[in-house]
Amino acid sequence: MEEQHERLFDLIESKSFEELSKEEQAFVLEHLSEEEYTLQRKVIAASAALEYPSEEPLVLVPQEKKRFLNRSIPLYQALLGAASIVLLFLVIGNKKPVLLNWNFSDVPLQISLTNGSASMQTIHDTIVKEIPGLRPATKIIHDTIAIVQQVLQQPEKRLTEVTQTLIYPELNEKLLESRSQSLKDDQAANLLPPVMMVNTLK
Amino acid sequence: MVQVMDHHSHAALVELHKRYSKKLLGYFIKMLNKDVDLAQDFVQELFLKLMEKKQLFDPEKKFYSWIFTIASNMCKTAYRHHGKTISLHPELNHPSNLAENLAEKQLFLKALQHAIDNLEHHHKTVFVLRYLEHFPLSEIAVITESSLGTVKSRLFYATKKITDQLKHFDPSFETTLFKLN
Repeated sequence: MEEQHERLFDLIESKSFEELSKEEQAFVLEHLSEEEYTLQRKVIAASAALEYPSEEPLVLVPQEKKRFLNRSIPLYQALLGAASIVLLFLVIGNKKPVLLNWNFSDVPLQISLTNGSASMQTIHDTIVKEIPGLRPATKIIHDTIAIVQQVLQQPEKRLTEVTQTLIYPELNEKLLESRSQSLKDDQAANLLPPVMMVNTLK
Repeated sequence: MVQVMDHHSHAALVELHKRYSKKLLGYFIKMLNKDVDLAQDFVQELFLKLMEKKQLFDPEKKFYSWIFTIASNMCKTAYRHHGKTISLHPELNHPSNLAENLAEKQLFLKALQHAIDNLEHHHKTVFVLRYLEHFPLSEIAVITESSLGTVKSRLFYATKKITDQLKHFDPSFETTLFKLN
């Protein structure tokens, strides 16, 4: 069938119905009427007369460079990146967190800085810290910052209201009673060597 | 050309655009039922595809045929996604409804246009390439990635389908209007 269509196409493109041989006409008429054959030729010819918008193409928009976030990366790079992030979190997670505890009483202090501004004193402390296996030594500078503050108002509840915690013994006659013993009544004193007192100032 | 594209991408792209964009735009306008904006988008998209897929070019083939193969495939994809385009000129199915003073030739051309627009994609592609873009049959075979016999067969069917829609026109008047060499 396709071969017959190929032949029909060749004939339609090349010859009018009148130009066909008897055999060709007979072949054509097996598939098409003479009017259809003629109309097909007219369709082909008329197609060239069709009008389409004649537009100028737009200026070519250069391809945008792929942005960092839009870039596609191989799977192994993505996995490596994810593993690195997990490792980083594990390392950070093992470090003891530095906690700074501020303990205030129930009644907060009213603190005013001197002259309305902080008076600061910075002391540079240089500490040379040697980490085994690493050369040169790492030099770490710690800054100690002291903020001088002036407390204008003491808290209302101070030591004045603190209850007495020391226990003092109660003084009474029994406690004041002398429990000492005279030397002459002491039997042990007889065992002591005789001592003579000489006035050397004379 | 592809070797040039490898080393001087932007300059090569500009040169290709200069050479082929107008021809491609004309093809897209015909294939996309005169939708000029869509055709412009297709041209831009085609040149981006060209850079992305430059390694797929077979140097033994004509570059011109290759870019029309891409263009043809783009139209095929659009056709698959959107199906047959809804007719913009439904009155053309019934020419008698048109104003009587409309010139018969114009009427015929509009009906012809409409019939081409409504062809199946594979028939429309070969018809446009052959009779509107004037490609040799051998190149159409390359572009559509089919045999010469298939191209001829599709062209016959395409023309027949168009003719079926134009039967209500008196064949005698066309002989005075159009002549096929």
